[in-house]
Amino acid sequence: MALSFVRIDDRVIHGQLVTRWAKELPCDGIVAIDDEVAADPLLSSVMKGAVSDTKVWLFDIATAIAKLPKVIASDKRYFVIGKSPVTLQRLAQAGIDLTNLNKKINVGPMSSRSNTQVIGPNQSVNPQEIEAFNYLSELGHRIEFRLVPDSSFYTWQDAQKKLN
Amino acid sequence: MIHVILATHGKLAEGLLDSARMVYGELARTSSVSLREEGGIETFKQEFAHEIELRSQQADGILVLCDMQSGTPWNVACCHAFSPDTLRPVAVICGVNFPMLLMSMDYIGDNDVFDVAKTLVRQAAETMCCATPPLAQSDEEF
Repeated sequence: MALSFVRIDDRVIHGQLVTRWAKELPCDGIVAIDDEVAADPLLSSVMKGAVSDTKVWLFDIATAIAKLPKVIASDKRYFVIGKSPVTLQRLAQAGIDLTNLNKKINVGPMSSRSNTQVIGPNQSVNPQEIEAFNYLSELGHRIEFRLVPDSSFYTWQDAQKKLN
Repeated sequence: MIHVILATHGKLAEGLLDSARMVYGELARTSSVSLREEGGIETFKQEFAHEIELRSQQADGILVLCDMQSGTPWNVACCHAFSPDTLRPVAVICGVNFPMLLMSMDYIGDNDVFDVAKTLVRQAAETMCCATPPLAQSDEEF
């Protein structure tokens, strides 16, 4: 098992915050996944520059599905960050095993948008994301909403109680 | 355990706390005192003294993050730091920025506030940098 941490973060790569998680968990590199960022070479290069001393790959979902088995088979320890729960749902549907050393899927910021409900500080979900969280949860993944390693957290089960 | 007090001119301290809530969530053991035009130096002195006294009851040391050396918040904080009557050790540093504030959370559980102050100044200095394009890397080696 080569994944040490799996996270959902709508900023994809956020320099200082990734660095904080990398202090807590082994990290030889970061695989970040988002179709939009991967299609934009300029934005990709800016995001890669956010983490200067760690290898970063930015893949679209299709490439991630092709490459992740190799990443998981590696002896090294990698972080996987998806832009949204829907990103991770697609990976799981394609047979990618998101089991990781942290034993859960961590969720960072999910900004409020039209059609979203607030479930916590800087954390909002739309109907498609709710469905994706349900899917990942039913696969047996523990889903924990926690911005940084030592902040307070709640689970998807707690979040569900806040939904209308 | 230490307690962090942000002491700045105007709304900078509140602004930093507001920004921190966005990326980090609520910061533990952190509070702010602001020097305001309407209250002036005297009000600031009173508020700062009250804050130090209150927070000293539940901390081994107080770390004061000031915006600038030799400004009023700094001067007032140093009077407490250098006073023989201070209840708990008070360390004062200046040049607070957003990364420094977030990094201070790594040391909330520490006991020696002077050690924390030195480490934070060193680490925060590294957060000021120029943007450079990343080097190309091979996409195939995992």
